[in-house]
Amino acid sequence: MTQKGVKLNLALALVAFCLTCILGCNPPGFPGGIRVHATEVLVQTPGATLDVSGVFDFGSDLLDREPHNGSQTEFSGVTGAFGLDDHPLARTNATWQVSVDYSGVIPQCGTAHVVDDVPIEGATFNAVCFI
Amino acid sequence: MRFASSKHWMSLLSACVIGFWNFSCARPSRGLGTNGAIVFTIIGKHPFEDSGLVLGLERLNTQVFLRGKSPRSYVFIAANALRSPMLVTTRELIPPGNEVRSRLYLYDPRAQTWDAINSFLPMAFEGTGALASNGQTVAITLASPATPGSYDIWWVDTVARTHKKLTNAGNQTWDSLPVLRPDGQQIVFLRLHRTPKGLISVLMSVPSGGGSETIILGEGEGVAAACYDPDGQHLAVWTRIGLEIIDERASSRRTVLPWSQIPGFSIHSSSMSWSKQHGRIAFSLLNQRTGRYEIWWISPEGEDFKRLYEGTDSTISSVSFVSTSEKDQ
Repeated sequence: MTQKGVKLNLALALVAFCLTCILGCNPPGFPGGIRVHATEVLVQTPGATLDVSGVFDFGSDLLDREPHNGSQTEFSGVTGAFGLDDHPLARTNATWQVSVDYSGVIPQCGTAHVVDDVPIEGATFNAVCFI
Repeated sequence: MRFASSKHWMSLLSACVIGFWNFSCARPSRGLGTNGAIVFTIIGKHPFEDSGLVLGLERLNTQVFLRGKSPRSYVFIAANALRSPMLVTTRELIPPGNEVRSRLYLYDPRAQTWDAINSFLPMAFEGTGALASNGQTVAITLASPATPGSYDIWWVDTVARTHKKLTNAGNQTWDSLPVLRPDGQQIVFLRLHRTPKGLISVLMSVPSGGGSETIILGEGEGVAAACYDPDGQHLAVWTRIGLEIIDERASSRRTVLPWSQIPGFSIHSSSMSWSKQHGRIAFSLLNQRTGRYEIWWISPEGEDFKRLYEGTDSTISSVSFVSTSEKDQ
């Protein structure tokens, strides 16, 4: 093999090395998205907030901007063990109305509606029920 | 230059690739010393930004241990040693609908294997858990798809592939943050009730082999988190009074850190941990002045109240002392 061939092999090996590191450590996925996080304060211990599962959440995209990530313009779901409900495909760089419905859980908390801008990297909507 | 030498180059580069990958993403963090560490998880600001970190107790240096990245992130870790199997809860995309679910795994950092803990209720919602000292039995929380907010405690032997449902939380109620007594015979957990007044908690226990549930601290106590001491004789518990030590057998309790001594601090759902090596109890506190979640420890006598980790604006969801000594791995 010529010296030029060796250099080519070396260059290819370096590219393969870089790709292995990038793809191996960071598999491709969804950038951004919207996260809903539901919490409640303990009645007896006002200094303690706990994650709440089983809270329904809904979202509607009111206004798009360019550029954006994601394709979903509406979502609905329910929070899990960490009070989280993730919507990784929700469109970002947009204005969203997000509602978190505690009414089936604690009627006094009712339903909270928030309208907010979601930047292109995504956002979290935090819902806290204080009674 | 001859072909044989280019083959050597390729072999060397391949070795470098494998070595680099092994060090950069597959191996637990190094350079933490032998004085132990705290593994903790943070809940990110966006989907898939939840990560596991390790705080070395020798130099109080922090390293990312499991970095969250779509399609998987890490929201909870219970561990005994840095390089032995640990219980990890992930957030991950579940095909085909790209729904994001929490999943419980037994993760072996040395072998780089991820074994799903729940193979018996495939549609269940998965939550938090506790890992026994043998590294193979766990207490976890699962909720039926029909009642997604109502988590129950399950006992699972990950080697024998056996499991048992231990609690029935019921409607508008769920069980959370199970803690195993070091002998593995008892599980302590929080039972949370939704009431017209708001969220109420009760500290309960159940034998790991199954049996009746027992109330340790009732509704008026406002329990938010608990952990066992290394000998299984005492419990450290956050209550409406503050951090307390409870002696189950003597039915006695004493306050270690009252809320009145830490104005401007609050706590959020998180596990806590009691180290035998250090004789300290570690937990996460929210500094309301800075909006940052910090890690602190204190002795069971209420001394050496010290901040170990200056904080992050992301919620800390689990805190676990781990050994970094090779003989414990």
